[in-house]
Amino acid sequence: MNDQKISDKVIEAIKTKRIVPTPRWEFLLKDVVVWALAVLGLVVGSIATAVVIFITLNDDFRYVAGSTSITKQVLLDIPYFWLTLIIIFGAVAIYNLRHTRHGYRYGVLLILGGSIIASVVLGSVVYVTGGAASLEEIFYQRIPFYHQMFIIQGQLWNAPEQGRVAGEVIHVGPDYITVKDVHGAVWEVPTTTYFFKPGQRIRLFGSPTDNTQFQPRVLKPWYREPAFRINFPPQSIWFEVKQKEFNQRTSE
Amino acid sequence: MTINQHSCEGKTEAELIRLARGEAEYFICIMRRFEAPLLRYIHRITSVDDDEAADLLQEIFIKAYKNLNAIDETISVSAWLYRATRNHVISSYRKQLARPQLLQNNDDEFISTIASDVDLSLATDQILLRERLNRALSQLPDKYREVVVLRYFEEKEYKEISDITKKPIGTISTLLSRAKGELKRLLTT
Repeated sequence: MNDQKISDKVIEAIKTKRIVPTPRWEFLLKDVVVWALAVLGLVVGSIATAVVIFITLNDDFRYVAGSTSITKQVLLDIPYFWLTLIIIFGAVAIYNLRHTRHGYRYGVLLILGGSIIASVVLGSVVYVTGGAASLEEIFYQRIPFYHQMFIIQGQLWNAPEQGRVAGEVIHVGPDYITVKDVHGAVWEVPTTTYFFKPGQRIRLFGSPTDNTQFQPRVLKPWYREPAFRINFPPQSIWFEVKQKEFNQRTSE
Repeated sequence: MTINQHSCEGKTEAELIRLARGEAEYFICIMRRFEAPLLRYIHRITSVDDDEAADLLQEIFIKAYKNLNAIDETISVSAWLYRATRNHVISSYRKQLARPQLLQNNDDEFISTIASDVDLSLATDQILLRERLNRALSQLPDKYREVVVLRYFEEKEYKEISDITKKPIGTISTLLSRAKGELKRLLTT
């Protein structure tokens, strides 16, 4: 078989089978999808990194230590949910960056390192603008699974008889707040010192005076407030709705 | 429209690809330019006979024609076709086939180049050296052997090898360096 025959056979096959080149838009669409997935992976990974930074920097370990063993507390406080998101979306970003048209020209380590640096930089921006704190709060308020994770974490820490209450502010009065702890008990907590909002997670140190009253020595938000914070409208709407629901229930 | 040798002359490969997108006959020019080197390459990475190699190349050309609009302007047409060939052969044949003998009787030039690159003395008899090199090449891991074939037998530059294998240039450089080290080790033990 000579070379001429190969090209003749190919042209003949192209003509008889009416083979035409695949349209350019199909290849462009594939490129767009790959890039979109890479960007999605980077953006979600960066946001998750921002929340991990927020949780790590603002979990007040001074009040955590001593309540239970350090190892247990550290294991409890690891933000597994957000770390899982980082791993999943980081993998999506790296896989798709490698599969862009010229992705093969860059080594895996370069792409991995670049993605990590981009995530940390973008995540830090999201953190310092307050986005991470707001997002973490929104997840707590709106995602049942995430809410449940806090309940489980809080139940291992909550011990009113030992002077520790972990829960959520459900009502704010003029000189007291009402807190529902993670085991479902409702406590009236006298205070005028702090400004709290309904729906906010809280740690209390002090002592119960009876089954419904808790005299606080220290009141702390579950996470410290970061230096900068943007309050998104959906969050305030949520608090209003929650306050109305609670007022309705207590008035019935 | 009938394309003859004259229609192909003076046109770059990129121009011919653009013309082939509108008129399939121009694809003949591309095929004529690459039939011989691609057939040779297929023989170097498989143990198929001539007929099987021709069948493989037909399939590769048809696939390449379908993907004419996917050609990346930043890589050469040659690298693009070698990549298509490599991928097609890997997915179709290579894992099932025994390794071919890379060096033939008329490959003295390649033997000199490889021998010089791995610091091997040429004082040894050429026939003996060819046998030893063939044995050593057949013992090389696939990842090393692949870059050796492209560099020394197909005489591709690092950038082209990178585009064909879709690996970074730094990786190609490392693989070649390790391949030479491994060859030297195999030839001296």
